[in-house]
Amino acid sequence: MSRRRVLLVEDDQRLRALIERELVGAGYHVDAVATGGDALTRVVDGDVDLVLLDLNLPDVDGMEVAERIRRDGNDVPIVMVTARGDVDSRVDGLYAGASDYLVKPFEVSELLARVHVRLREHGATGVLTCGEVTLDTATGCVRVGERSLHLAPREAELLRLLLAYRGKVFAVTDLERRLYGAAPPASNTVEVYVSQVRRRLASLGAPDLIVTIRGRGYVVP
Amino acid sequence: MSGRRRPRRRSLEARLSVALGAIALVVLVLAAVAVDALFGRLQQRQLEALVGSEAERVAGLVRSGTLGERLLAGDQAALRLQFVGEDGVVRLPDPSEAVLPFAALPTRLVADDGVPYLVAARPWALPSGALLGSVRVALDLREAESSRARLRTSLMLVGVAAALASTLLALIVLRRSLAPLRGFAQQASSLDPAEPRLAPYRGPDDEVGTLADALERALAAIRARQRAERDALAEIAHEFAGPLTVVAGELRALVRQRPDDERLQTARAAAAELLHAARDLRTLARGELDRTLELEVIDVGPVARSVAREYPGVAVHVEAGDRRVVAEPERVRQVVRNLLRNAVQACGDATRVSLAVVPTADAVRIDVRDDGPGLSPETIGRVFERYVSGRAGGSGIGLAVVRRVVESYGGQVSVRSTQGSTVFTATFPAFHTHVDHGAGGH
Repeated sequence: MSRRRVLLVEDDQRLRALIERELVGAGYHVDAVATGGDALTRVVDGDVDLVLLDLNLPDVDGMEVAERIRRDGNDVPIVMVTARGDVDSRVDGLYAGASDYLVKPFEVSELLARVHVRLREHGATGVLTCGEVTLDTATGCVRVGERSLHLAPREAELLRLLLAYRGKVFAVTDLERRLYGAAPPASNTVEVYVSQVRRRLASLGAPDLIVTIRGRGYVVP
Repeated sequence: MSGRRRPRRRSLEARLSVALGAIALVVLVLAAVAVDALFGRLQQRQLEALVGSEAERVAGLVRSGTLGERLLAGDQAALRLQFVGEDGVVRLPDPSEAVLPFAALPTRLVADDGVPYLVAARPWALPSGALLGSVRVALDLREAESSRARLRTSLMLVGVAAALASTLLALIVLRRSLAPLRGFAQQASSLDPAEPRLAPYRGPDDEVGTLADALERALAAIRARQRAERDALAEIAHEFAGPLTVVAGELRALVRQRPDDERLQTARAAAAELLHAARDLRTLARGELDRTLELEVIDVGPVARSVAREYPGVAVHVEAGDRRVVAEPERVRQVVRNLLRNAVQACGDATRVSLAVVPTADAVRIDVRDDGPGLSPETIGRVFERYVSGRAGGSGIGLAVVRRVVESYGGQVSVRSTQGSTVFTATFPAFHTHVDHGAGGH
């Protein structure tokens, strides 16, 4: 597999040098830029597997950069880095389309771990497995033991997310954003999809794969 | 905290209503005494008039010569009549009777046998004008005085009853009007020091309302002050964030290059410590924990093990079972790390610290034990409060962070301490307690 390309957007020269060196050391190809404008140019040029985005940029705000990337229909994973630790910026960050969020100060090892996980999950295609349940993301075919059936594309994407990010609790709003992007559907659409997928899994003999966490969302534990 | 509040306080309601009752009692007793005295004087005057007029009437009848069989008006057995000669001997009705004393004006006297009576005398003159002696009338006062005594008793009884009733009424009224104060006390005793707030007061705009307003204003000022402090903390943490990341990261890289350099390792460990301290400050800063977004279902066992590796020498025991919780992994790490740091600082040696992860029915428990000097009874109750350091070397931040994090997930913190063994415990609700089976769809 070719080296994954990470676009690093960080205006603090010391941090940029440190993170770039560490990412290269971990085997990634790194484009390091200092401004939001440069970042957008690089993303448009394409061939970026993950964006590591500082929120506090001199020209275009990091949030704005993330929004523009998403508006162009690009679903490249974005890991936001900021010194703002308060809730608002986290919510905004996730709504702007960030896949993950890292608050300064952090250990570089944490950052590497996040980048690694997000890249792996984003590329989580092919056959995903959880116990007896397997999902072929290419065909939407879900299999439990000997029995199998085909899921509709959105159902398959829902199950793919839950299996790829196994253990992560997805809020309904989070799933809406990931399944529908900027145009959220009617209020309980995601719940309807979840119960459909559950029914289909139950018919195959795996009724308990998707768990509801009270007041929080859904997870494949 | 306690100590000063003993002995048991008496209720203000009880004291006020007893005081009111006592005042009512005194007022009523005084009123009863006054009524009794007035009544007594009135009664005395009436009886004196009666006796006087009776003597006058009898003397008049005798003088006018119309002496009939019935000298005394009505049928008053209490009245006695004597005709006493100039020589002081009873002429009528019976010379053997003890003679009534002479009194020009009606006078109250007490007989030898203790019977009180009122006596009055008039000249005993014949129609001819000859003076024979005096007509004396006596009225037995026993009846009158006993009815006065009865009146006095009833006045007293009514007074006491009214005083008791007013005590009770006062108690009820006070109880009702002081209820908001009890509410304040209750709320104040369970106030969250991090966010002191009273439930809004909905009552009349009276003294209690004024008190509620004043309390709320004071608490609002405290909250504003705390917010400012937290903002300042967040600002400081913010300023440190970038440089700390660089220092810790570069030192980490240097240690990798020169793994045998102990001084580098020390510097690296110190940088990591600073980094975690900055994070703790951030956690205590405003809003950080109010909503966590990156929740995951995680096994506490491996997380605890990986954190324990930062403190070589700590004995780790992870019990089998379902150790899953729903939390942000970094938060669980922060809790374990802070408990371990606290224990290592307290006893000075990681090998004297042990960490256990124990799944229980509805929770996952993290126990960190050390054999350092225990906590004093004074500090043990406050050791999880911000800026309260239980033992030497602590900043008072770490354990406060532990409590905030754990409680934000609906868990609990506790500590048991004896000489030579201190156990800090943090529990997180177990994964299965979060599962909504109702929405299971099967």
